[in-house]
Amino acid sequence: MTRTVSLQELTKAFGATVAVAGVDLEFGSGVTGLLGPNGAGKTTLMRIVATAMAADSGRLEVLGHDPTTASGRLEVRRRLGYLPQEPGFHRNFSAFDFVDYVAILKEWGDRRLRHDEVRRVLALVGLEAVMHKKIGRLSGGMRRRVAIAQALLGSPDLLVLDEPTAGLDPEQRLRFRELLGTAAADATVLLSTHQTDDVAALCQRVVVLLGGRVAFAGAPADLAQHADGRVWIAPTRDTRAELAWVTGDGRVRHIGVPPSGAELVPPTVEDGYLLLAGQAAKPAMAEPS
Amino acid sequence: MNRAQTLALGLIVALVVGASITGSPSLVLMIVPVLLLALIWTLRGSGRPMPETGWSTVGVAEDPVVRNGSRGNGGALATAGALGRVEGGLLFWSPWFAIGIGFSALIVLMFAVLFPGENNQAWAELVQMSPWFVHPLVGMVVVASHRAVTRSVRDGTEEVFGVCPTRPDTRTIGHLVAAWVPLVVAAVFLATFAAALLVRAPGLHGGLTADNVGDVVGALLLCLGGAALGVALGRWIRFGLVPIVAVVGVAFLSTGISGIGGHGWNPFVQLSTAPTIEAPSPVFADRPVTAHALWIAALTGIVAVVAVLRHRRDRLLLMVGGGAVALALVAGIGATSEMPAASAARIADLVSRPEAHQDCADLTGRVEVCVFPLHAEYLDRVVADASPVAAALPAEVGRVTIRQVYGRSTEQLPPEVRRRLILPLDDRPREIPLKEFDELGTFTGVRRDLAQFAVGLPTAPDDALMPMVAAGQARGVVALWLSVRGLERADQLRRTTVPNPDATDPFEQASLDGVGQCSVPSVVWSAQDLAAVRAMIDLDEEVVAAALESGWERWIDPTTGTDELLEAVGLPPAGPYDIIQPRPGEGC
Repeated sequence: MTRTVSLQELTKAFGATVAVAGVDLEFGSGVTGLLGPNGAGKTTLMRIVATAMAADSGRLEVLGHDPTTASGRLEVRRRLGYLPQEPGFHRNFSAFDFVDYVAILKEWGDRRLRHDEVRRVLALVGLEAVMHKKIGRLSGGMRRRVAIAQALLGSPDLLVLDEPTAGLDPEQRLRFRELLGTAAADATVLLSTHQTDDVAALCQRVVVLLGGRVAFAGAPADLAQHADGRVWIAPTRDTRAELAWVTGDGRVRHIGVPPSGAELVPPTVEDGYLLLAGQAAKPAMAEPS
Repeated sequence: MNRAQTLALGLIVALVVGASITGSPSLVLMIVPVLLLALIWTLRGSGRPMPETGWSTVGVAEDPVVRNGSRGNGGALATAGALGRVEGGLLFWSPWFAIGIGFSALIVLMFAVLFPGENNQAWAELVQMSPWFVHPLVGMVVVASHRAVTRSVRDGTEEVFGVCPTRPDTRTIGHLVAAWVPLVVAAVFLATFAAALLVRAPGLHGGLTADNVGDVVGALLLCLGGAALGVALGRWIRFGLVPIVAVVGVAFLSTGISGIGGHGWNPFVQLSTAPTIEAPSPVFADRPVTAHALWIAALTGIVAVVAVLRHRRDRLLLMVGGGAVALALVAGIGATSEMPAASAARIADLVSRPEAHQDCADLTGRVEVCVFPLHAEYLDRVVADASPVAAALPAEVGRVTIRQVYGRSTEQLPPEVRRRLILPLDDRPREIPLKEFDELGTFTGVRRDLAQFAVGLPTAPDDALMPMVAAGQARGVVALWLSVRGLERADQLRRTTVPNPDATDPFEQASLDGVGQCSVPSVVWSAQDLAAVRAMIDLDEEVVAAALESGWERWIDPTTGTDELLEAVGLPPAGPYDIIQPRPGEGC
C-alpha cells in the first residue's frame, strides 16, 4: 500500500467536546472504511481529511501535501472528491446544472470537456435519463446519486465519502459497490458508513473510531477475527452475553464470552465491530431485527 | 418554479405594483389573464417526486474525460468567466430579476403603449432620464445578486463547494462577472423602449446630443453597480432582508442628494444615481455626464472590491480599490465643479436673449412661434395646431410672438450662469412664453395661451399659483371660443368641458385643467361660461367671428359680461353665474 493520507496526533474539539482525540492513522490506495457509532468523530475526521475543516492540533498529510497551508490545500482539493454526510442541493437546479456547477468550481474551464465529464459521471450513477430534471423533483435516492456523481468528477485520487449509501435501496447499494470498484479503482477512498456489510464488501482496510480515538485499524477480516470464538448461536437468549439478538431463523446470536459447549459460529465484520463498540451499541442492537 | 413561472411572477408583481401606484384599471384588467396563466403553469409544474429509476453501469464509459488536473482550465480568471456565464443565466431566471424585467416592461407599457401622448419632449431630454428608467431593474438586480451569492449557504451546498479548488474570491468574481446579464437586459430594455416610443410617441422630437451617450452609459453602469452591491452585501451580510434595506437606503440617499438645495440649484445632483432634470430643455444645461458616468463606475469598482475583500486581501486588490477611490474623488470633483466658462456664457445668453438663438415660424402674419433649434422639428406641429387660432384673431390683437424661454426660477441655474445673465428676463410685453414641451399634451396649452393672451387674460397663474377667475366675463368665453378654432366639433366640445362634469364643487366645474396635484390653471371660468362657449360653438362660425370683429375692444373689456356677448350672437343669457372662489394650484 502506498501511503496517501497520514494523520498524526490529530485533535479537534468543539468547545468542551473533543470530537477527534489524538488520532494516528495512515492509509493509501484502495477503500478504507470508517466505522463508529454516532458521535464517534467520523464526520469530523472526514471533514478534516477533505479540507473542509482544520484540525486544532496534530499533523496531516494528504496526497503528499500539507492541507494547513493554502497551497497544500489547493493541491489536495484539485485531486479530491468529497461527499458530505448531508450534501445540500439547489432544488431549482437540474442534476446536470448542479454537477456542472461543481465541475466549474473544480476548475473545469473548458465547457465542452466539462459537459462531457458531467454527462459521464451522471451516467455512472444511472441518472442520464433524468439529468435535466430539477433536483427538487428527484427522489431522495436519486439526489444521493447526484451527490455521488459530483464527487466522482475527474476520477479524483482521493475520495472522501461520508455515508454514501445512506438513502440508497439495496439494489442501489450494490450498484454503488460496483461503481466504487471500477470508477475509483486506483483512488484512495475513505468511506464512512454504518453498514458493516458495505465495509466487508468494499474495504481493504477498516478503521473503527470510538470516542474520537482509533479503536481498531486493519483489514476487515482482522476486525471479524477480533470476535473469533466469541460469537455463538443458541435457541434462547443467554443473559451473560454482551450483545444478543434474534436472527431470522428464530435462534439467538450472541457476542461475548461463550459458555462452555456453546455452538460457535464464524464471526462477521459486524460481530467484530459490535464487540469492539461493546456496551455502547447494546441498547440499539439488542432488539430483534 | 420553472422559467415561465418565474417570468410570469415577475410580470404579475410588477403589474400589481404598477397598478397600485398608477391606479390604472386597464393594468388591473391585464393582471387577470396573466394571473390565470401563471396559475395554470404553477399547477402544471407542481408534481410529486419522480419515482426511482434503475441504475445500471453497463456500457458507461469509466474513464474520465480528463483526470484531475489539465482540465482545459486557464486559472482563476477562466473559472470566474465560466462561473460568470452560469451565474448570469441563473440571475436571468431568478424570480427577483424577473420582477425587475416586469418593472421595465411596465415602463414600456405605461409610457410607450398606454400613454405615449405624454411624451412631447425632445429625445435628448428623454434619454437624460435613462438612469431613472433602469432603477427598478437595478433594485431587483441588487436583491437577485444577493440571493445568488448566499444561495450555497441557504441550500447547504457550501461544504461541497468549499472543498473545491476554486477560491472564494474567485467565486465572488464569478458572481460579479454575472453582471453582464443585467447590463444586456438593461440595454435591450432601453432599446425596446426607444423603439416603442419611436413608433408610438410622435411628440418626441429633435436629435440626440453627445451628452446622451454618457446618460446611457451611466444607466448601464448602474446595472453593474447594482450587481456589485448585491454581491458585496451577500459576501458580508447574509441576512435576506439586507438587499431590500439597501435598495431602499440607496433610493433615499439618491433622493436626498437630488433634493439638496430645495428648488434652487443643486451642485451635487450628479452624485445621485438618478440625477434629477432641472432644466426645462437640454439646451439650458451642460451636464457633466462623463464625470457622472465615471462616478458611477468608481462606486461600482469600490463596491466590487469590497465584495472581493471578504476573502482576499492582497496588494493587487488594494491597488484596484485605491484606484477606484481615486477615480471616485476625481469624478466626484468633476461632477460637482462649475461648468466651463464658455458653456456658462452660452447658457446665460440662451436664457437672456433667446431670440438670438431661435428658429421662428410665422402664423398668418400675426403670430410668430420661436423655438431653439433642438426643438425645430416640433415647431411645425405647434404652427399647424395654432394657425387656426391665429387666423381667427382680429387685427386689433396686433403681432404676437410665442417664444420658448427658460421660464423657470433663475435660482435653478448654476451660479456661473446666473452671474452672466442679462436681467430682467421677463420684460417681453408682446410675447407668450411657450410652455414646456412635456406639458403641451394635445397642444391645448398653445391654443389657449394664444387666445387668452389675445383677450388680455393671463397665460400663467400668478406667483401664488392663484388662477384668474373669468366667471361671467365675455373675454373668457371669447378666449375659449378662439382656442378651439379649426377643430372637429367633438374635439371642440371636449376641450370646453371640465374633466369631471358631474362634480358639484363650483371651482371644479369651472376648471378645464382639472383640480389636484400638478394642476395649476391660469384661468378658471364658471359652469355657465363653459355652457355658453359650447352654445357658441354650435353657431355659424362666420356669425360669431363677425360679432367679435365688430366689437373686439368691448369683448375684451373685463367689465363686459358673458350675457352681453350671448345676446350679440343671438343666444339666450346663461346667467346667473356661479361665484367662483379662486383656489391656488398645487405644484408638483
